[in-house]
Amino acid sequence: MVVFSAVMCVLGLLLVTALRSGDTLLGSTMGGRQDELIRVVEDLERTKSELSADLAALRAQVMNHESGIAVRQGLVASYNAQLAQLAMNAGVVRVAGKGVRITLADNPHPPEGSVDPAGYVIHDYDLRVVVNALWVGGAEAVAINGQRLTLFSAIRCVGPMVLVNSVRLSSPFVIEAIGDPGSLSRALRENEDARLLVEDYARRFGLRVRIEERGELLLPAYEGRLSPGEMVERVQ
Amino acid sequence: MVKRLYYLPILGLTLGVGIGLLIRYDVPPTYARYLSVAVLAALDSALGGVRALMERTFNDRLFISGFVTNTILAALITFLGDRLGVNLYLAAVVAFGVRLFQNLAVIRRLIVK
Repeated sequence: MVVFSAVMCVLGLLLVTALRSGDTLLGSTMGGRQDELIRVVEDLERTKSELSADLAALRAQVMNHESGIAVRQGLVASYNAQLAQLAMNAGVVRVAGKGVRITLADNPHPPEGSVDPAGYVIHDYDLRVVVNALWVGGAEAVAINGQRLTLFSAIRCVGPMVLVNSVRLSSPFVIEAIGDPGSLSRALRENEDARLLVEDYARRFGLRVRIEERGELLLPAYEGRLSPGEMVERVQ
Repeated sequence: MVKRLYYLPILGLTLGVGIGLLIRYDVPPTYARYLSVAVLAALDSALGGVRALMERTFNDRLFISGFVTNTILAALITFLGDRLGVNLYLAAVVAFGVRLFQNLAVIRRLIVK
């Protein structure tokens, strides 16, 4: 009888345990295994759809970034093009193109004891007259004896020499200008001072003047300092 | 003497329930099958015991050896089934279930008569 009671005690213990953990047990007995697998599959499917959504979002992001890169590359290209143009205009790069070449030279044999000996040589103002006429005629780049004219260039007289870009030049002076050759030649003819120099003075003082229209001119870059020192930008 | 001790098994059952409620042991899901088999073995033994008592053929040794060997065999079969990936524990469940109903039928008959 005691043994039977002990077994009953075990039975009671087991029954209570089984009933108490019934929920967890349900999940793992026969049908529970299937339920568990179904749950696993459902979990995986949910994870998969979440990941698909993530993937789509990330793909959209990638496309966004790519279009951003394209835009930036377009900007860089346009900036580079602008920079190249500005560099050409500023005279810091070598340029080529058709234009005119004007050669001015002193009278090689000035008459002795002349009344006006200064008339037989080419002066800084003669060069300025020609250069200004060329600018008026739409010259895009001008160089005198290989000295490219820029915003900072001055043409002035230093003794018997002419100073351009802090370089001393002497006769003969070769002025090369890139631009429409016809328009440049016309500008030289139509400018009063230039016409006087080229026609009157040249004949009167024996100055050597030659104007040629050239299909291909090569103008060197300005080599001096260009970066601003004192000035700062003021944007309105 | 036997008649007077009838309350003892009920006391044992109550004691077991009390202990179960007290210790609140949660069976891990892995051992759920063992628990089910153990519950069935205990139920079978209890009903078998009741039947033996009513038939006045109750024997302590027979009873405890039957309980222990049945439980061990059921656990072994369950373990083997788990290892093989086959629900072998169902064999123990069916065997115990059939015996449960048989014992119940005999007890019912004895009571009705």
